[in-house]
Amino acid sequence: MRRAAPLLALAIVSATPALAQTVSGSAYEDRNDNGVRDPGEPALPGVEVELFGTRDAGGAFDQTTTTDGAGGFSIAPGNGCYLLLPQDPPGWRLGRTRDDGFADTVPGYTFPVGKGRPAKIDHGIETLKSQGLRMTAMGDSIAWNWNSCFYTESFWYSRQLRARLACTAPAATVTLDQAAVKGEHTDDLLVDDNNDLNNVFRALELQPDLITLSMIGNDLLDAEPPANPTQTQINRAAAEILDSRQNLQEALSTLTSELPGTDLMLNSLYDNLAYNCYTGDTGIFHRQWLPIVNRILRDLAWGQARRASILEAAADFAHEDQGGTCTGFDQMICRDIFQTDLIHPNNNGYQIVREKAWEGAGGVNLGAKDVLARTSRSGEDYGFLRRVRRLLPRHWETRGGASVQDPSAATDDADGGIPARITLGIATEEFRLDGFPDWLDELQIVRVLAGVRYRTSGSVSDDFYRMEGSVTGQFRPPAGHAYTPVDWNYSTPIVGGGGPNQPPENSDYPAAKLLALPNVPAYREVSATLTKNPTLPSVSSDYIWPAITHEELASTAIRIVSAPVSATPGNDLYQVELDAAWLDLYGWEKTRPPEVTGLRVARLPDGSLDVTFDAVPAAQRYNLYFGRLATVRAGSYDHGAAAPAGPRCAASFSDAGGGRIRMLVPPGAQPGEASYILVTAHVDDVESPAGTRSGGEEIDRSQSICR
Amino acid sequence: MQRRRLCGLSIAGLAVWSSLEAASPLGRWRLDEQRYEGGSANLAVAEEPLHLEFAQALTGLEARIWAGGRAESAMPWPTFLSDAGPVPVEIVEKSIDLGSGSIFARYRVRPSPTDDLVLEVTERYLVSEDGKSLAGEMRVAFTGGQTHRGGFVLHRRFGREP
Repeated sequence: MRRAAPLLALAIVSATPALAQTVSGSAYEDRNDNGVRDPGEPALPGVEVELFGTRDAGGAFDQTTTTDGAGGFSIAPGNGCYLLLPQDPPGWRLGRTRDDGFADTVPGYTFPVGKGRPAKIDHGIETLKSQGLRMTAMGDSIAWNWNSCFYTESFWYSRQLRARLACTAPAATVTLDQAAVKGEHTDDLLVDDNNDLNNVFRALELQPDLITLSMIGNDLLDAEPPANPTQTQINRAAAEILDSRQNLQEALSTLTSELPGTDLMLNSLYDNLAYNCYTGDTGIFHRQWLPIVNRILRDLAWGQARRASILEAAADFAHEDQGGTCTGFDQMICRDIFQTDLIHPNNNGYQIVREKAWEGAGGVNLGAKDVLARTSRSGEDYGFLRRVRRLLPRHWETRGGASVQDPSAATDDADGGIPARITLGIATEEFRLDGFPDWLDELQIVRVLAGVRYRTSGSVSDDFYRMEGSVTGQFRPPAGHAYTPVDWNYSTPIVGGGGPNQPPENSDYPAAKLLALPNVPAYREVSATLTKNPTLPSVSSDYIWPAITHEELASTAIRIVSAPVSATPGNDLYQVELDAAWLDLYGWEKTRPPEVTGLRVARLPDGSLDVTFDAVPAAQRYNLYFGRLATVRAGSYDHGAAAPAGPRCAASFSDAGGGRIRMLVPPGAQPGEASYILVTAHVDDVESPAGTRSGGEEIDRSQSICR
Repeated sequence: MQRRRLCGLSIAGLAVWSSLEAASPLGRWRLDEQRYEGGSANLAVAEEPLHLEFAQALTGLEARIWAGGRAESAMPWPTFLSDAGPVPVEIVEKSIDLGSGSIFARYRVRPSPTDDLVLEVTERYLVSEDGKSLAGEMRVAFTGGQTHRGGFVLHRRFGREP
């Protein structure tokens, strides 16, 4: 008994760091975009971090600090309720919210918080300081907080979030619009009706400060295939997923552009049929497609012109990966005795949703207000991605009879807002932009946003238009395509909902006229995460979502295409005025090697060219280009695809001594006309400049085709 | 010849009698299939099947419901049960038609005393011609105050238990 006392004392001593009542974390460059700070990922010093709220001891707290040289920050507010807001550094945006899974036996993985998945809302603190915040909870039954097990009150977790936000600013009025409607589909968000507040048009009228959205589950349940689905049933479900993605993109982008001061938060949990994940197999369709739908939701949130926050609940609900491993907390789904539910979170499950909604808003409670009574918080890590380049298309074309005035204006983002004026029809008229630069090999692409700036003139009522991007330039699968989990993603929706009676495989809304925001009188910017199919290596336990490659940039296209939606086609007189379309590349940059110097050329007795130049440190390979002398004399270059002789990429070379490299070009490989020669080097797979003009400007990089 | 004819009549009569008998909802039923809206996934829980029973009692027709093998804990149908126990049900209309094999109930449930949500539930089933299944739908509409707040439909098929 006596001996126990020191142990107890030790335990108390070991707990003392928790009494520090600090909030700490870091800002870093999330180079692999997983939302987790991994070894080697650079720190981001100088990032502004604000902690705002109210202390339990009384009094408001509002402190802004900047991250130190190691990217770290620490603020000691004392116990209380707070919002944490890391500001995006100029040219950067907060990366992905972490969504990695943990087995429920992992020490420290404690219900209902699980793993901290911090995100932020950008205007919350500012709005609360202005004494009022209006919140609107949109969506379906999960937004509604419904289950058939032990029902407490409607909109419980939203009310709890409202109360927590109000706690941070007691003088502010925080209100909640209970807009969600049970059983509704994503299409309902885009139908302009007054039956309820659950559509974007009513949200635009209400002008809330914070919109939470939880939706897509009913779209999918309505197409949920049986245990051993046929390909037809899989196709029907996949078509519904793609249609829902279009609807959500249109809803989110409309809210983003039309309500510039409003924060959005999207729930990653849409439904869950994996209740007994730890003891039995999840249905195969659900196991295969659940992570795809979750990824779609996360990409939708991230890709908006203003990033929407993610309420990352899905990762903390039990689910099975492709290898059969379960992570998350089990038994969080209502299994009522009489089987009227089986889908919704039970009340424990909604506690997880509440905690993730709070984290998604940047909420931090310390002390008694925290659900785990934590008095200190570390690991509030925020990974950012830098926009390394905006790429503009270099080529346009019309298809299907579209008529376009000033088409080149859409390829120029510095022309003062002069648009390409596009007249579509009611068939397959299309204006397509492509030819994005694919040679910037120093850019390490992590994510790509496809964006447009456009307005409309005239009046659109039902002869609608759609904008979308495609990594391959093939916007739709071939007829009769068999969708699989690794072959479903042919285009990324940017503007335009799915439309009434879409998808054809599972049609609906026969009476609806519009499913989108049609008339756009002032320029509007809309963007979406450009996506492609995942891969599923046999050794992997889950999907891999590869980044867009430089080669794929070459085939990427953005198009504006007609999409009439009613039975009165052809009566709208309007134009889509496209100011610009672009790809924003997010990632990081490698250092480019220096230009090759000391180039000398001599002809050997056997007719070979003896090309020597100074070695470039750490070069992996050298490339030799030929161009016509006449072209360069005319002020241009033609050593790329139209060269008089093919480039000698990764050409054989030898050590010429004295720090020089030698290449020999036999007569048969030489151009038959007067030519110029350029040599480049690859270091770390990045090609050096081929040369510079007299003014120091690099010569046309598009001609350096030895990638 | 006459005998054969009689025989034929007798078989026909038997068939008619059998059909009428099979159309009766009396007996025990087990939920074999439950689909949400237009989905084709079967959401019925095989380990804890839902049972319905319709029986003639001294007091008239009796309808009961229970889950798993716990027939002794059966409750009157329709019932709404949360994890905390039965929730009061206001039955608006209920009919069990032995002749047509039709089962119908419309009832209201207020699942939480602290909330204005009211569930308007309609259950409608029909015995199949061969008497082997009882199929129909459970339609739940949500209202709060005077406001419609959505709903859902479960398509259900019960199999007759021996």
